[in-house]
Amino acid sequence: MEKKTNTWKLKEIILVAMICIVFGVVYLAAVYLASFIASALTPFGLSPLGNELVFGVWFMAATLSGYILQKPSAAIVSEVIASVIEVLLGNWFGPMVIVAGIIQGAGAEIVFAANKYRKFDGMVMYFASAGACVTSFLWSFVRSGYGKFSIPFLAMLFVIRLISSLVFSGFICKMTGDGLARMGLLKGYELGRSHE
Amino acid sequence: MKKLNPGWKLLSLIIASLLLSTTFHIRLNLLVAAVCLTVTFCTPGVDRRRLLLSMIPFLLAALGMFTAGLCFGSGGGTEGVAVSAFGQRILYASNLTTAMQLSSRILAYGGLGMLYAFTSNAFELVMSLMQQFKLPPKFAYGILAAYHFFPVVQEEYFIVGSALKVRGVKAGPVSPKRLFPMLVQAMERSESLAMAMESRGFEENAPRAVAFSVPVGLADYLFLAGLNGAILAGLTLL
Amino acid sequence: MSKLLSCENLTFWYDQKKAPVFSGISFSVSQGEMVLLMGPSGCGKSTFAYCMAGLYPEYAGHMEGNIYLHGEMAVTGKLPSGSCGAPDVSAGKYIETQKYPLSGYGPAARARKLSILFQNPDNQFCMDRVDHEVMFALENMNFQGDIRRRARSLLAQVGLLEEEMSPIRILSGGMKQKLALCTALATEAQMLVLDEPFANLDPASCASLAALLAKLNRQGTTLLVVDHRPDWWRPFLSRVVFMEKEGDLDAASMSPQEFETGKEAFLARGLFYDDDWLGGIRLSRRSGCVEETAFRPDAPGAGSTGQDAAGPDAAGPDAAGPDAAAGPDAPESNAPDPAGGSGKQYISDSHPCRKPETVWSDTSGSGEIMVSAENLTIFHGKKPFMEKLSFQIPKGSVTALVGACGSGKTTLLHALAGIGRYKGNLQIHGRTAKGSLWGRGRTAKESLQANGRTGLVFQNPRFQFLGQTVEEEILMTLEATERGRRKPDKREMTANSKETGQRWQTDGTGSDQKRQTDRTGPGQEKQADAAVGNPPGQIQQKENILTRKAHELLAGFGLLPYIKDSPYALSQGQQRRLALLAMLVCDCSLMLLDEPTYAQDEQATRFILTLLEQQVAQGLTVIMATHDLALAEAFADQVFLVDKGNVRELSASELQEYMHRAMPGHASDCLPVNGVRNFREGTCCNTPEGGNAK
Repeated sequence: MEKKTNTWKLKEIILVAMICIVFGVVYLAAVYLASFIASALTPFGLSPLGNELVFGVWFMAATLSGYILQKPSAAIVSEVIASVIEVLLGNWFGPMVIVAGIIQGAGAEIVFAANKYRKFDGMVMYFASAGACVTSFLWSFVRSGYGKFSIPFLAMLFVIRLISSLVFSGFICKMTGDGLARMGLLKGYELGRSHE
Repeated sequence: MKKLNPGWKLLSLIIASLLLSTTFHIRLNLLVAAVCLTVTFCTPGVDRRRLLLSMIPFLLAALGMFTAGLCFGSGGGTEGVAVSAFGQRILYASNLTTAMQLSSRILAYGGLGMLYAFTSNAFELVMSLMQQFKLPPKFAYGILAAYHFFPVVQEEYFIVGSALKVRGVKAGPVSPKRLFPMLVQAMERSESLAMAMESRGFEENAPRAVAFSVPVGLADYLFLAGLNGAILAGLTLL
Repeated sequence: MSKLLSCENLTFWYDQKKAPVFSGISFSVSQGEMVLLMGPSGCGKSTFAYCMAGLYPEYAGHMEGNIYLHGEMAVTGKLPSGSCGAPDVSAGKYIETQKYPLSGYGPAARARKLSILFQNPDNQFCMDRVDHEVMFALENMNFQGDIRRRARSLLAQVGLLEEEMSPIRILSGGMKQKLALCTALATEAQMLVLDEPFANLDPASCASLAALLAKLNRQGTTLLVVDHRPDWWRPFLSRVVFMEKEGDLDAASMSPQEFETGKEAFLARGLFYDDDWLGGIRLSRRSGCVEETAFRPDAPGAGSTGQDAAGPDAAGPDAAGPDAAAGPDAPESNAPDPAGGSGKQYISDSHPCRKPETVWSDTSGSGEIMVSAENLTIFHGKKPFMEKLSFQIPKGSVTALVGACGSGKTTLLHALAGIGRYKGNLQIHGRTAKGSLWGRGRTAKESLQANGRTGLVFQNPRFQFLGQTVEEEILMTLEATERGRRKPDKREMTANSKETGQRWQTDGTGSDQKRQTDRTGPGQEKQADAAVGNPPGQIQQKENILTRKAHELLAGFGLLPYIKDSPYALSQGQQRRLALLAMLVCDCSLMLLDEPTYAQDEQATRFILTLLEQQVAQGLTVIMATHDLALAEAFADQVFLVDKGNVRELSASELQEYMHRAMPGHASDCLPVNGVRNFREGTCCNTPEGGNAK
């Protein structure tokens, strides 16, 4: 029987990487949609909203991996893996996504750590998504210069990003993780064990 | 550009982007963007058509930021001269500045990103991370293995869509109906891969030969210093 | 001959709360042998192989007992200091006939002794290019020397040198398995464990791989092969061992001579011995008689034995007494068929799979054309893949598509189903199916409307599952069909498909699914989850009937023990059966099947084929893509060869020639048998392998 260890096993690494690839594909599809919306909103100056709408999809991979593996550094490492894969895939934002990834992952990781990596229920998941949202928003100040926007606009951006995070990275991820565990597919991982 | 060590190139560009993000320097941003794109264009072996196509997303993003900055910039006071009327609002020079700052930054990042993406090879990057930056082999090869499955997963995404269509069901791009089969497949695949890699003798701490060595050279250090030095200079002088 | 690998008293559980997959097994393989381990699907032979190869229990399950590697070895792996009899040695010293526990070996050391080849060629490789993969294996072995040159010489040994620079993705299944073999050679493994390596390969690849393995065996590599078809292995095996639930496997091993004469033993276990059994299928196809059969339900511990294969139809509510309809908890309540196993009888009227007369006309020999294609161009991605195709497929017939991997069988099936892109004239069931250059952009509704009721079972059946449980999967489709049937006057495709399409979206398991439905039809019907309480009388009755039907169908397919499990938890073969069943109950007029018999043993294949036959007799048109040429020859009315972008009908003699070329040494003219093939119930492995899906 496998015990919960803090080291990363090969199959866990590949699993996280595969999950990132799956979400990478999904993300591309979602981004097409978002780009349409963003372009439509451009004349009104609301274009960044399009980006914010799908922001939650970015760290779905991290929260899902954190949820399935439930070990320290799961969220941050999966985000880094996700960003490296994004770079490999030639994401136009380039090398910066790695930094962004670390910061987003840290946001989720902090929440998991605050729960001592023992509690992994719905509330924790939502908080983790929110955590990632918050840190990424702060990062956006640095990276994209959100500081230049007016406060009401910023508030709107933040709220939309938060909702997006909670829906995609919180709700859908939890549902998916639970669904997978219910199907008995996660027997080798922490989530499956805690579901029995 | 292509011959540079990918890991060090990545590091250089990250530092460059971070430097650029410390302040809003419109002219420097634009200069960086222009230089990067030119260099990328001129690098032999780059698929120029794809480059042009890939520029569209970030040009759009830059445009979006531009208008957002115009409409919602916080610099909106009554300083400066009224430049134009846009809808109901009167724009001020400071708004224009804001917009330019935001969008030029996007352009700069885009330029740096394109420079990296089009002159680097994923495989070599992972090898370089492993060899120069001490990434443990299990991470390196795990990521690489999954990365190689990207086209397969992409195909599967569409197959799942088709399969559901055959049963008369529509599924949105992020819907769990699509995610489930793909994730199940991902899990099976990851286990099979891990087992297969181990049966080929892959062991974390065992001594490994190196078949794909990626060298580091003087050029890499020069690039790091040169690029960031230039940016620093630009920040202070321009 | 000295032993190489052995196990003692081995017991393995996937889940310790359930019964073990096998217990107390002893087995050994000697140097230079070629051992064939046989057993029907789901009896645990693959699990056993994985244990022997050292992958389990690390990757799954819990194991007790010992596995040992014997013989001389240079000590390079980590051995626990307390291991049995390991003397104090330094690298380079050789020890004779000592045994070392397998668990003491790390992956690198283990790979030098034994290597495993998996069933599915696709998910074995971590690299993108052929040569990179071999070099990866060499890296793992810490090969000192010119790695690239060594890789090339290894590739040359397996005959893959021309493909050196190719991406692995585009290789055929056979070439992938060869590449896997090559990496095993790279690790210089003394022994190879092969888990059904030929399961999804075309005959030509099988032949060349078998030759390669035979050569390796002659050169001294020990082979342990797990397979349920002995055909390819017969020329060079040392002995045959049957997988049992417990005991000493060696004791019951057969030598090649005993093997040749021991047909009965095989048939008793429900295994493929040769293609004789197809004779029965062939004869029934030619004569038009439809045989009724039942898949013996796999009930753990129920010990259902002695049922004649040609006897009772477990799924027919009126074929047996009132007990048969007792509901979901009585899988074994099927009383013997009153007609008493005569073997040739038509299905009873109330058989759930029989379609009502109002929808189907008697089409035997009606000569109506179901699919007609003229000047069809089929696209794969953006490029035209097959051009100028013209063919016709009559209604109520079975057509087989054969051809090498990647030749376009799947693409053609997808185009016919309406999910691939094509251009040209394609008529299905008299209606012109609108070709679309933007195939991906068509909505579900349009697909159904344009192509009528066309069902497609994918090569990978798990992409099509919608329900949370097996039961729900069938129930959903039953309900949809039931509602479609309730309006006999609206036989227009449009209305029916609109309703059917809409119905499939009424499963209330997720709120975002509701977002996607567009409810245009008459009021909403409640979900027929048998546990839901108290809807008004009539609907309740209807739902119970449907639930019963679903259970009977599932029982007929041998899936009843799993009704509460998720479809993903089933094994490959079971998933395929489930997908097939889900398609069959949805009133399709044209059924497209992509490799329907892959990973099925004789029992299951027979059942599927007979069921299809029954449907075909009712007017269903079947087109199936398959690698199994003997099956195609026996079962299909016409065979199309898909080759180099062309589709060509093969006449009987052309087919024979093709088969001879592809499967040397196979007698393609099987012994004619009396339509019915009775075989005794296998007592070996009734409980299917649970847990991890293979």
